[in-house]
Amino acid sequence: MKKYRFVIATVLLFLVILIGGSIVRHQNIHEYKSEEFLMDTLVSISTYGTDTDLLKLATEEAFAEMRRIAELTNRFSESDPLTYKKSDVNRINKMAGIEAVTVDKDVFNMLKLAKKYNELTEGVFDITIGPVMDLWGFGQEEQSLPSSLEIKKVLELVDSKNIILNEDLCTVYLSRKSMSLDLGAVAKGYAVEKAVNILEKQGIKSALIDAGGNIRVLGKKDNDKLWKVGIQDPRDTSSLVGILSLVDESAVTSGDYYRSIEINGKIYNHIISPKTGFPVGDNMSVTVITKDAFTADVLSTALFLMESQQAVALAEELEGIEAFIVNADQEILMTSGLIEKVVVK
Amino acid sequence: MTKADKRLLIIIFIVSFFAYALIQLYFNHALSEGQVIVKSRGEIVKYIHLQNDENVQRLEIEGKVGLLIIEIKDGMVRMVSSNCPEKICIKQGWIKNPGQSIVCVPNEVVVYIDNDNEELPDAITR
Amino acid sequence: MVKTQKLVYLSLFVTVATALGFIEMMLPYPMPIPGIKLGLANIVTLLIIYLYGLKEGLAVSLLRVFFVSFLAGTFLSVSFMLSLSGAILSTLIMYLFKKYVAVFSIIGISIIGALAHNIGQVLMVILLIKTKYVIFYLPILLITGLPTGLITGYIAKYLLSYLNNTK
Repeated sequence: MKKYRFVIATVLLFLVILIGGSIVRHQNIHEYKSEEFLMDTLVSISTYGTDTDLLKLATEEAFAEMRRIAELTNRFSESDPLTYKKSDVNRINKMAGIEAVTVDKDVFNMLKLAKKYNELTEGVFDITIGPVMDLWGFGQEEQSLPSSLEIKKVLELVDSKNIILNEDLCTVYLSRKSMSLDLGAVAKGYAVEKAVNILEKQGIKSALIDAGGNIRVLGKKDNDKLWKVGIQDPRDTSSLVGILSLVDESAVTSGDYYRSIEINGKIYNHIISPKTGFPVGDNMSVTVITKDAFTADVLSTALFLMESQQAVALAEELEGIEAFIVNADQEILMTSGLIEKVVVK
Repeated sequence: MTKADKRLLIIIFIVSFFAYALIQLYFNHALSEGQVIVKSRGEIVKYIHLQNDENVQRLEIEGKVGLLIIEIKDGMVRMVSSNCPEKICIKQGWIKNPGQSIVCVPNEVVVYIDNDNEELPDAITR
Repeated sequence: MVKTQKLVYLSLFVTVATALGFIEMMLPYPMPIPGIKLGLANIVTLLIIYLYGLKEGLAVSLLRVFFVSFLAGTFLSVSFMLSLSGAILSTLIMYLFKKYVAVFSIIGISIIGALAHNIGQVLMVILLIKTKYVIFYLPILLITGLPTGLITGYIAKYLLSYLNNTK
């Protein structure tokens, strides 16, 4: 009997230590989550760590940075002169065909990268699409269906080669009058990436940023688990088509269901092709997974505008880029590197 | 009946009773803004944010044997149609608290209210 | 007891158990909570364990589950799986308790059997549908297992003394 008691006591002690230890370990990690409405969408930053004050501080700084980028890239603030002035994009657009404009380092960086991707995608990705977007009325009160003649005229203004950058002076010049930049497809990704950089600099080891569906995770969840990021079904907001397991990377989706408009009974999504001036219909949604949120944002737009097979092929070629595509027939295509990262429904 | 039998009866009754009472109490305190999660054959197929509005939502779920339909209203969910033989899932009526669940065994479908977002992904890219 | 005699008796028991199980299936379903039933067939399982042993107990209850499912057309269906796991677990547990825990009478064993049966079914549901939320049904199932266990226990007790006296 005595021996039994000893064994039971040891086992109990062991259990107590085990349970106690895991409770203590778990209690140490706090979550700080904050949300703000930016760039026309709800941005939520969740940070995890043991020091709640640090989490708060870092999140505040991250949001401040995102606000800064938002202001610099805002194109639709003509009504408010104060905001209008703060936008580098507005100044660039206003001086199109007139003179070069000094811009913030980050804006310069964005445009430099945008030009690079314009070349890489052979013109499928082009931020000089402003005039086309304006013709459609996206971003404004009313939208209307442009005629092919109008589109043709306006397409002449679409060409990233006409963005003249001067690295030494940090200036941007749009060489043709009436050209205009629209950074809607990329500003969010850039802002998110800058925010993550700030979190990292502050020593945050685990965080998740959700900017209206642009997801960027930092580190691991609870410091030891992979983040589970679901891919929304493009035709059913209450369902997922897949779940990604991510660490220190970004997942951005471009879809035909988000912000579409209806004109004369037909639905047009807001991702316009710089080649045709019209939305394309080959894909329902394209999700790009890569480390940098800006790249993910750019490529998700670019790949969305391509034919599904072409898109996967390009993603496959590019290093460090994975793509998950739901095409117009609701079939799923993905790059080979995604096999270990995703669970398809 | 021996003394041991009686003790067994009493202990099990008391323990279960308290467990049941605890579950009811704990879950009735929980937030009414939960998530409804539907799993079919082990995989999450639907997740719906529960709100206390009057909108009635009906959703179709594919089960192992056929189609099922759930109805969401007023922050509660129930099974309204299923092709299973015994319709136990339908007889269960409305559930609204985390921990409660409606199970259709032949279809391998579970509809439950998630209380700590354990089963949901951390974020959804869209 | 001669081997053939034993075989005949066991077959009789299987038949009775199957009949009981089948009749129980036909009874109207009382409550919305799945898994609640009278467990009349367990009376036979209980008797077998007391008259014979574990092997025979398992054999009779397994055969009963098979036959009832054949008759009801639910062979290999989900309810078959549930009945199976409930029967196996309860037979095993009843035998173990009877053999090693002397303080319980047949009533107590029957109650334990009813509880084990319900637990076995819940475990099977968890296995099949991979959800842990059904655990919340356990308190209710356990509480309802008590009266059914009591009833089958008393019936088994009187049957047992009758059988023992006439043997």
